[in-house]
Amino acid sequence: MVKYIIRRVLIVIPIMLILSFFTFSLTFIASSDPVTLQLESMGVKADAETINAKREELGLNDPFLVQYGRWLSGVLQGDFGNSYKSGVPVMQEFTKRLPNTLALTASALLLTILIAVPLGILSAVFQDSPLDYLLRLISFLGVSMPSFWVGTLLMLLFGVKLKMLPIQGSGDFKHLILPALTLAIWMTCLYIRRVRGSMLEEMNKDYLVGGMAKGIPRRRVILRQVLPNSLLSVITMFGMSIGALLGGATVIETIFEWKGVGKMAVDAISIRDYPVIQAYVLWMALIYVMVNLLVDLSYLILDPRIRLEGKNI
Amino acid sequence: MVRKKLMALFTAALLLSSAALTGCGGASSGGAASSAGGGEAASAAADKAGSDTAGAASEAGADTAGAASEAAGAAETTGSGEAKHLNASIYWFGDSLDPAHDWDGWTTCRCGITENLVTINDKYELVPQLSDTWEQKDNKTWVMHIRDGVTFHNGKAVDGAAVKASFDRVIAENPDRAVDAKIDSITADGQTVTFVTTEPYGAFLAQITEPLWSVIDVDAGTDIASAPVGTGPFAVTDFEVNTVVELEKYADYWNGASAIDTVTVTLIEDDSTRGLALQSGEQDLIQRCTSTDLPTFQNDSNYTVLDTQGARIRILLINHKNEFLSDVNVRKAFASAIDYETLVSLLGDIVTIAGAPYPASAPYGYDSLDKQTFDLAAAKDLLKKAGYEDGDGNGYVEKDGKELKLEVAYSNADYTTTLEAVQSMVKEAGINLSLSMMDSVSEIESAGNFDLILTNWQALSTGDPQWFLDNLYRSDASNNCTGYASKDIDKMCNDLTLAFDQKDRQNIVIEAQKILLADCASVWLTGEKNFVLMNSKVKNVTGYPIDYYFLDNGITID
Repeated sequence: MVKYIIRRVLIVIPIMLILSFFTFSLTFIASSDPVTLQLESMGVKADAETINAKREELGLNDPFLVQYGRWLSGVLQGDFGNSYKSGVPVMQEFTKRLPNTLALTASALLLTILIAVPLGILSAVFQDSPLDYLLRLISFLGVSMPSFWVGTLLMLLFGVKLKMLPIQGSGDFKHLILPALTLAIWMTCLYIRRVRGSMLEEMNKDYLVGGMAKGIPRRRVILRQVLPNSLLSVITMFGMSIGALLGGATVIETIFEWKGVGKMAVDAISIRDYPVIQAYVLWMALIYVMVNLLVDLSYLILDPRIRLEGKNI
Repeated sequence: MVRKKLMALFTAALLLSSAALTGCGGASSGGAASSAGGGEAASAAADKAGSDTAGAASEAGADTAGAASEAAGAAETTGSGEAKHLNASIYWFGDSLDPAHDWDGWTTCRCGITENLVTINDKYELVPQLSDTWEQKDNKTWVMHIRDGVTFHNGKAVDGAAVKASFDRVIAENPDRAVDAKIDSITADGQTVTFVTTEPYGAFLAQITEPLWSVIDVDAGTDIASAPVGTGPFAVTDFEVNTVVELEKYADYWNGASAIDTVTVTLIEDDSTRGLALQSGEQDLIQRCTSTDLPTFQNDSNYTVLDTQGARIRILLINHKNEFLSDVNVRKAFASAIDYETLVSLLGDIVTIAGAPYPASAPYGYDSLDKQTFDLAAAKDLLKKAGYEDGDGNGYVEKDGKELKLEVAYSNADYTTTLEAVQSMVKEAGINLSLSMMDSVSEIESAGNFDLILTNWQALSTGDPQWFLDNLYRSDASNNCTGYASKDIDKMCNDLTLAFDQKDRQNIVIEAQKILLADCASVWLTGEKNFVLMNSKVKNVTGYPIDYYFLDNGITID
């Protein structure tokens, strides 16, 4: 198993190299010029000489392979370069923002688990009851509502009307509540449906009937047999959600002025800030691979069938 | 059994790690929180400032008595003992507070941290700031006297040498932008500083009003990027990149200390969120909001909305080399087919009708000009005169079998509404207009590969009209992507360079506008308004036509 883990970790390296080259190529062939876009974003019209001088300063007039090679050799030495826009080292900005993204992701997931799992179970257990219909309606509505709209409504309610919570900023716990809640509402509604579906699938299997025929109470079979089995498939989906959230809930970060990596990436994309975009892509590749690895490893622990197969890995 | 335990452990670990990360995130960004303008942070800062600055303010009252007479009400409120704090929000920060870096001086100017030798008032007039008098020795030499009694935030007196050092630093740090002022040499002597330009340059004084030329103490020993030492009514106490600037009033400010003790200026990029922050009470004073939010504030007596005609204008750049648009009658027909009043009512109260290159609020004869106006019948006549008629009855005119088809390119999604309206308006005249949104229009601009481009320009950058004419309409201008060439306009650009009298400059610009309008060089669609919104506690805010002016020493808060 150790070999398996090492192999999975090592595979990250070629993935990242290919991705970084691919991303660099895409940004390079995009017709827009980083210097012009940055100036336009500020409403500034600069003359061609100014733009060219800035391009020269940033090394943007060099051929593609020279630029990519320079960037890659820097990365191999631990230097991800400086942001074109701010001139600040990319990793400095990245590590400053990462805790905010981690906090937002963790909070949203925590809320989602605490709400979605029990409600999903209830919805499945009381299938086709008024409670099930209500939860399905709520989850349908929640999934259908765009996050930016939900976020604005929450701001209006808790910030403007009740004046209970700050509506923007990357500050303390109070600043975290509304963006986390906005993310969690969508995720919760999504996972109520997923947990319900997964539970129902397991409940239709024969072992439930078998267990009950043996005289084990239905509630006990559901909690001890059906629930653990149904959560296995949900864990995979959670893994993907964690990856997406760690990549930054961009819209949420933007409207709440939450200074996370998602907003940083979007700002960078809008002005073609290549070093920041590259760092973000590498980060995304890393978290997706690592989260998938963790999910796979969790199966080894949770699912005996895979554990047994794992001996042959 | 083992599996159950592992499952429980896994769930517990997930929950615990989530909780830990949440705590970690909160703690790690706590610094940001304390300065991000939350109520507690603000009041704490205000408390501190109240005790620290009250004494200094009273001293300032005596020391700067002469200057203080210019700023009514200064330092009065600090005497009451209750510290005054203002939460303000703007939509753009630079990456530093170094005025010489890129356009970051706009932030120091907005925050009232730095000032220039000369500035512009709300009528686009050049008025003294750090320099109280100046004299033009010859057409290249300007001798400027530095106002007596002005000090930097560290107490050091501002003299000619300090000004020269500040200007020298800008030239060294940002030569690409500094070149616009055409400064050849600077010499300092006591309270005077002498500038010699590389050539006669009538816009020199206007050029040095740009926040790039903010005067700072370059020898203060602080990190200029995060704590520049300027001369403005507010001094920096803390700065977090792209987040917040904490300010406290400068008690010895030459023009009378502010009645506000501390200010937190927060960056909120989203217009809608900034509006909500004002409604929630998190912010007291903001720049700009969405057009849809505007009526909410205008119709609520708890808020004051200050709108000022801005210097920015939305222009449809016309490619004069285009096979259709090279005909002046087609250009004029296009301009006449646009119903400017309907366009403005559609876009809301955030814009005004333009119809001419310079805004109505500027002293460039707007009312006397034969502006671009809506006249559908005239548009149809002009097209007929140019040889276009709808022969096939499809609603679009054609000439020699070729339909009058044009494409307008743009890169700002906010322009879509404007252009969709223009599209339907010109269709009435028989012009087939399609829209093309792009990431950036710079490439097609430089290649000249376009029919029309909707963009916006500062028509009165630094309050002076020359830069706009020089850069967009002069035949050899690097930004003249339209192929427009007029010997008269070129001559007027030269005349402006040599015109030092403001009245003479105005007359030249009025004549230049007549030529541009007669040639229909562009379609000047709408002028943009600058909005400042505040709650009822904030008073004495001035609306400036150029939006890098924002906080000043006159603002008060109850």
